[in-house]
Amino acid sequence: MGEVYFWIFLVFFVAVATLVSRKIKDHLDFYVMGERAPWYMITGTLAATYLSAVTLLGIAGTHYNIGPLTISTFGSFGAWLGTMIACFYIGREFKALKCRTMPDFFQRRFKNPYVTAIATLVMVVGLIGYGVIQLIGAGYILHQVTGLEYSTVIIGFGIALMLFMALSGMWGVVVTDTLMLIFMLVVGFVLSPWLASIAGGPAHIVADTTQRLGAEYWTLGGTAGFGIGWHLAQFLVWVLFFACTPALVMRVFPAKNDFALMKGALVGILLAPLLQLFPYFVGSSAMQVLQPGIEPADRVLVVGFFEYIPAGLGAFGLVAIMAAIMSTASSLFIAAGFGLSRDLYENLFNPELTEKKRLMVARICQVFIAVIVLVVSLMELDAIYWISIWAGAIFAVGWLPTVVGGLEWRNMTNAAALASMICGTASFIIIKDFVDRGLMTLPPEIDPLFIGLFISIAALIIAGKLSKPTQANLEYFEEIKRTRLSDQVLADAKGNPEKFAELKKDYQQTKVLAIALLVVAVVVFGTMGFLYARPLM
Amino acid sequence: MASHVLLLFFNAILLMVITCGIALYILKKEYAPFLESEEKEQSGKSQ
Repeated sequence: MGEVYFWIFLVFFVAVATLVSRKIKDHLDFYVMGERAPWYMITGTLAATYLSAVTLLGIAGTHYNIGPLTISTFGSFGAWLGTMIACFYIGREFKALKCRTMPDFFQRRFKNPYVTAIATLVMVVGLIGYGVIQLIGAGYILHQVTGLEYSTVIIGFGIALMLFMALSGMWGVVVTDTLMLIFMLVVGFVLSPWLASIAGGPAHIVADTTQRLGAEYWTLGGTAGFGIGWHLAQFLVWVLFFACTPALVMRVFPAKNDFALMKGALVGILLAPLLQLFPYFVGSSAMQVLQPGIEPADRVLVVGFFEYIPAGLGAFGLVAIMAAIMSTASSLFIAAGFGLSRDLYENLFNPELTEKKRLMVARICQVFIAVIVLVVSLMELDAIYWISIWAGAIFAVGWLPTVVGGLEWRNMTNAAALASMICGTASFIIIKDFVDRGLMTLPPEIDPLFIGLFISIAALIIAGKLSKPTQANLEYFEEIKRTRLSDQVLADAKGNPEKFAELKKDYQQTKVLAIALLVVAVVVFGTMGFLYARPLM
Repeated sequence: MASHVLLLFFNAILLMVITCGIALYILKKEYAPFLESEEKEQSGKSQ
């Protein structure tokens, strides 16, 4: 039966993308949806991108095995905060500057082909590595669940992704993400509490797991006994990675204005902990009671949905997992394709292109990326495992200091950007490799990422002090400081009563929404905390 | 152990306190002054 759902899902996915492709008239539609996305689509794409196969498979399995507080308390908290920084700080600043991709910023701020090329290569390699490893993991799980061959799953996903990305660009990603969010909401708010209810409710789940697995199961360290240094490292790794990952930052570029961005991000950021905590806190701890000893543990939620929830609804769970894989993969790969077409080809070679050819180049690059992804996933190259481990950290050490320096430091220079990206990335990769091979030992609270980040920041400051910014560097810095996303909305409203009334309405709505979401967060998380903490008191 | 569980949900609430706080700060800093001045201007015109 799982096989049927798999094919229906892929056909539905490509059909929606084909319909949406009619809206693509020019390159702006392809890259940023013509900046027409309403707030709920920003919420949809943000939350769907955030919820990945890692969440519903890997983390759920880890929580099931060693305890539901281990990764979520600090690691996930770092990812939530990183998402907030990606939307409200970096994404909002870049959108105000009319960046269509993240390397657009490097191109304008530094006007140096080497900086743009290195920034883009860091992005393309990092995104493909991170995306492919998710696809490989998901391929194995779907192979076990649906009975389809691993290669069939990967080819099915690969071809669907290729058609989808080449046809509909950012429009397709945003619209399908929003649709897929519906399935994810069902998993989060219906299926996971359902499993908890079948397992006897929070009090019974806590009592049963404590009795069988020990009191440590409900501690930060879990049954694995992770120390505070490990938690701190997890927190920093995820906050730094998510703050600068293009897959999240670029989610806000299609927003139609500042209010669509803020409202979309507010709801999306609340959905991040909700959609994570319900499946992998509520759902996986319930499964530990219902069926201990599931191997491999990555399958824990899939087993729960198929064996404990009535058939029709259980299938929602499988579709949600496929949706989580597809939405994250499409967001990662489309950003990599944009990197090739816009940042490497258009920005570096600056060709004279008609609008039609521009769109064609963008589509060809998407097909190219999809073919690479397909080949690498089928070959399961060892190297991709290493790239995926580096991928997240590469954005943290290779990009984040340069992005923040570029936005905030007047004397930021091309040499500082190059030194920071090269020294940060290289030092992290070398130290990580030494540690993994046992040639170097670090204290548990020191992750190689921290050393890489320190070297990246030090290289940025030293190279910045030893070199001088160009006139172009200084002019663009002034433009950054002059440009605010709100100015565009305010300029429209000035002297236009209709637009002013609209602005007032948006202002009030955003204010009320922010306060209402805060109340919702206090009530929902407070209740969850009470239900699960009370039996432990 | 109960405090460990509460810490997780405290973090989730803290996230929303920070996020909503930033959104309200942006509204107050970047939009409120314009709204006030524009409303004054419009009421001046109508008088």
